[in-house]
Amino acid sequence: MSPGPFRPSAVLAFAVLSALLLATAVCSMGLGAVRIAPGDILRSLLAPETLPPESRVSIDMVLWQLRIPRVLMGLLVGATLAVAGALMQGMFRNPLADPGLIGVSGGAALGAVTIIVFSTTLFAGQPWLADLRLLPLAAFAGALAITLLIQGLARTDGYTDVATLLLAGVAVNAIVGAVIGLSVFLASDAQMRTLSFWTLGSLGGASWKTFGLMAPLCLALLLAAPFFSAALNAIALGEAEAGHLGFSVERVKGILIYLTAAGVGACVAFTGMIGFIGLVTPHLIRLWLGPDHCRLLPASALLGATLLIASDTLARNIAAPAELPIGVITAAFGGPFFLVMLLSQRRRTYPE
Amino acid sequence: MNAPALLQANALGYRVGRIPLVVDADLGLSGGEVVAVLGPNGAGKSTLLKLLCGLFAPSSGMVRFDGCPLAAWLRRELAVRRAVLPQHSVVPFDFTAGEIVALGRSPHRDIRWQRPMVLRAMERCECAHLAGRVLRTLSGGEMQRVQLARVLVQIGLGEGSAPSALLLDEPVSSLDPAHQHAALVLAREMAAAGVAVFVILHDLNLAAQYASRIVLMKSGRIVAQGLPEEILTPGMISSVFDVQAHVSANPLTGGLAIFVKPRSGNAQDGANHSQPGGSGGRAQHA
Repeated sequence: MSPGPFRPSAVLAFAVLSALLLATAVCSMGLGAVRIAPGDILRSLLAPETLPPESRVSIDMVLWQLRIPRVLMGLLVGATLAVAGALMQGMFRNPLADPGLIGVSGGAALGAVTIIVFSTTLFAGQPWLADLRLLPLAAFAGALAITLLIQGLARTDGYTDVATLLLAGVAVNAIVGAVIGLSVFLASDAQMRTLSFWTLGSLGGASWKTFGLMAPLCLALLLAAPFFSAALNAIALGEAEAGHLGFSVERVKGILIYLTAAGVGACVAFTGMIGFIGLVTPHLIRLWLGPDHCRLLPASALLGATLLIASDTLARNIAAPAELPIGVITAAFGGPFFLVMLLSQRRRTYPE
Repeated sequence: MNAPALLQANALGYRVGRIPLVVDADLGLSGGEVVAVLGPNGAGKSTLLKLLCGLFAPSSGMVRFDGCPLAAWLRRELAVRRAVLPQHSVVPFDFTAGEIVALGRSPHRDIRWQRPMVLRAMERCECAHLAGRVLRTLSGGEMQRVQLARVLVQIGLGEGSAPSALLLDEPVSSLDPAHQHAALVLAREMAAAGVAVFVILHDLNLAAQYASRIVLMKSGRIVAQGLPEEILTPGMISSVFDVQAHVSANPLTGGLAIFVKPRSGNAQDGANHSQPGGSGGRAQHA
């Protein structure tokens, strides 16, 4: 057979990705203002009575109240953003689609920030956390509206136009910037700190409560996505072709748009706009395992979770005791990567 | 056309706004035949194919597959028995040719167990050696053969018990002469296995050589259909394609050989024989 891309075994790949995720999670739980040795983490998780009593309380406190919810939240957000990216790229038949880049995260932030602004003006004196349950709803509505808008804008004759897609993203992100800027102008100092994290994202708000609120929406996306692998593979041939292969393309796309809006909306509502995870992760997996969505979706979930937990660990520790917004880390690595991708795609489109 | 055809179109019409693209088309397609559709650009050939495969909903009339209106079929059940090859398609992401062909099994939900069939189809389309290559690095003709293998795999190479149909939109447009003939020989073999084949062609001589029935279209209407010898007459060709035509015997096959030249008198002379629109006269190996 002629030379072609090598596709490693799926079992091996998933073993490697799972091990990587586990190692990153343990590192993230151990690193921070209070260092906890990996052995103590395992003991606290599996057999807390074996810990020395003098350190047991503080370890349990740090682990169970701060680090573990934060790592679980990172896992959920990373997996959701990466899978949402893979779904959008498959659905738009374009490797440059990404919830942040094309404005879906921006739409979600728009919805969420609007709620914050309204709640502070309408219910004066009420902290925005009182409206916690409204936030994911508003973020979902914003994400959905933007997804439907760009889908309508960027499609001509069944093909998605990349330029329109990216320009729509620029426009949406500009509008979001304006609304956030206005909110900052109107906000008190305390609210400003809360608002500023929307623009760059942070897992700083992680707690068991926020985790519990976002988990159902993220899990809906993560658990449903694999059922659409076959349809997404067929859509790669073209929407009409997928129809001829027996898939109800419009229905698949409708469901995926709602799931993506729900999952990304939930992530943005509680962690702000974290860029590039959704763009870069599926691309790395495709380079390694090939474009088959049966592998791409679960592998992206594992790698996305790993990358986000690693970024968060960096963000917490690189300038300790201060905490960098996580978006600074993902953009610092993701931006250059995106440029390389653009250039290599241009080379493929215009071979010398 | 008295026996119920596998794919039957009655009084089919399609218009966009007030512009009619297909007008009052009656057509039956039965297992075992290769029906070639010919006509000038914009005659409505591709639109007719899109109506027949259900991609466009007709403005009037109805299409039935195996007796049932297309709209009444479950998509997946229809896909098991009817495959469509589009004119050209762009595949994003680095799928290999073998992976693309295997996608033809999607409606059967047995992609994992059908590797032998995938390889067999690729061998018959002379693209088995490309199986491991990334599709978008292939030439246009190689891609076309891979896509042909994909639709063959979709209908199980015509070996299933239920009769199936193959709708091909210009399947040989990017192929070299040897592969053009090979692809149409394959279409004939599928028909011999009981498949109904509907194919849009531009080359009159290929149609004459491989079609069991010719459908001539002009301005959205089917102007004539029948055996190649009945339809491909100099008069008919010149009226439909607006060229001067001459029909004689192909010395290699004994079948029809069609020669054309532009109708307007300002054509220089014989140098224009290979004008687009009728590539008659060149030596071909069947």
